[in-house]
Amino acid sequence: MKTFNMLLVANAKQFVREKAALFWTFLFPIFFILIFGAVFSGGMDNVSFNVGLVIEDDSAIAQNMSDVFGQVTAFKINEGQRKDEIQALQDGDRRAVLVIEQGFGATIAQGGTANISVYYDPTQTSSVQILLPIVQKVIDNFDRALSGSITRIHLDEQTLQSHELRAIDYLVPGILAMALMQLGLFAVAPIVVDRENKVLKRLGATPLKRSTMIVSTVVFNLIVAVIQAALIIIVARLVFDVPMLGNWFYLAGFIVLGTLTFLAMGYMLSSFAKNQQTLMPLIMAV
Amino acid sequence: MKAVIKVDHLRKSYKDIKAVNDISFRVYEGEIFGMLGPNGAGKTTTMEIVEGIRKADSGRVTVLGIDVKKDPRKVKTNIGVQLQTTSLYPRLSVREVMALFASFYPRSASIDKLIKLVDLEDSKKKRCKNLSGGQQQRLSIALALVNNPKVLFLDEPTSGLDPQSRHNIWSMIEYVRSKGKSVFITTHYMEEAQRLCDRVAIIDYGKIIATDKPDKLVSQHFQEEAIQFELSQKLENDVLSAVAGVTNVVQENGKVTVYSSAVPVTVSALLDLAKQRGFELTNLYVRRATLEDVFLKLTGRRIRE
Repeated sequence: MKTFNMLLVANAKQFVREKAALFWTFLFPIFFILIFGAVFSGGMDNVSFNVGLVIEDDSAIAQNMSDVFGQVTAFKINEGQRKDEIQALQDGDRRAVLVIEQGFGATIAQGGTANISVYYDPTQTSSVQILLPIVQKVIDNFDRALSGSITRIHLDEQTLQSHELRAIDYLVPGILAMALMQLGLFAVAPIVVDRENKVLKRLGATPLKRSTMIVSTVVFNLIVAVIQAALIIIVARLVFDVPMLGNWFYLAGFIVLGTLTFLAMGYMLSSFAKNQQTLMPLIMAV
Repeated sequence: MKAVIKVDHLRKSYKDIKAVNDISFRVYEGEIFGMLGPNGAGKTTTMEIVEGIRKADSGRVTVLGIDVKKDPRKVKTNIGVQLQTTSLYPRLSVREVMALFASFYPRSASIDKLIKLVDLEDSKKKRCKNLSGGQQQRLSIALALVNNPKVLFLDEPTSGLDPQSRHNIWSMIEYVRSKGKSVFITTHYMEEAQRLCDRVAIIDYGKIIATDKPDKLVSQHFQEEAIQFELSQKLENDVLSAVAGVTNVVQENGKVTVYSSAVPVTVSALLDLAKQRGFELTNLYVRRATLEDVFLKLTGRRIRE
């Protein structure tokens, strides 16, 4: 265990003291995100939202309600069937879909609380954060005019995930994958260099077990991979508000598996490459 | 005397080249044993088989009574190894590399004492890539001593070093011997073998052609001394052999070496011959025969072409 730790620390020191490696591993992917993020986020500033409106109630009060929505300048209202509008939301053509449910007028007339459902994609945080308060405000105003202080209309929030993601949302997982791939493949470069410089042979002349050596390099690279992935995700979140869909646990699993896969490939390549000069083209080919 | 290394009928071939061709020898406790031969003679291959990092085709090797084939790890735990080329972890410091290597062994010597021994105290925080050639070589010797081994293997430890660094390393090796350790060293420097080694094995084309104390090897093959000179015109070997007292003649690129058991007679006869034939003798000097001469006599060529 002591040997293992010493090797791990030695690896880390070797790595940290190489400025170029630090740059390519940590800073380069982040530059990548920043640059592409800046390029692709230009179209985000329009304030008009495509909102789908479905009226399933034919009462006058429902008609009034829909007229009020139509007057909101920030909304571009598209009236249609529930099914079509939700499909449009999922395709990314709507930011939200409002549904005035059946029995809306009747419920209010009877003094009950009527429902308006709003469907939206929670991952589109930036637009949802603007859109939902507007809808809520409109409904509150309408409600107050209708009944004074008693709440008669309830906004029923329904979340739906759309398939549409911003370019940056695609980009981050891509960069993450690319970075892990690079890490895994290039991680074997030091091994090839060590072999070339006979460092491996020298280690072979000590009682050090090969398994200890290999496991320590693999663990070291996993640690680097996790740090790298964390950095990419943090920057993506902080700067571009890229949402995290799905499970953190799975993500960690994929990072580990991905790194191991590419490390394995890297090791395989390293056995073909006699020296660093022949290794690089091999990696590029992959 | 107790043998710490026993090698019997060792063979190793690469394709159709016999790198090691039936080699047998012993290294005894507390001695410096040298293997002398030109590059490619099989020195390094032999050494690496004994160290357990290369496998022999056949033959038997035991180190400290342990069969290398059966338990190479146990052998490696008890020996210290320095390889020919040594560039180690360029971005680790001297001390860090030493500590790392110490962690590979169940027991280790004091790192600070070793650093002192190899005279790297002022550079112990230096990164390895910033060390000079001599310092790197000394570090690799220190690394070979990190487990306090009973047998030390040094593969051309002074190759490519300046004379001062070479002398430094020689005195370190002698110090190691004074601690009762055995040293197995390969070299292609005659001077090194003659000055440092208690016993020398001369090896050529994968075979040991002579083993003994350096002085004994010389006196066995030469009762004569060597007279060396340059000639202004070429003379046939027969002419020189006919000179009084000459027992052997070797000519190489205008340089002539004649061996004689009666130096004054031979020198005056040579001078007479020169006057008579009208040529000049230059750079003439007389020296004792060396291992180089032994190698020349046994193989017909010099160790370094």
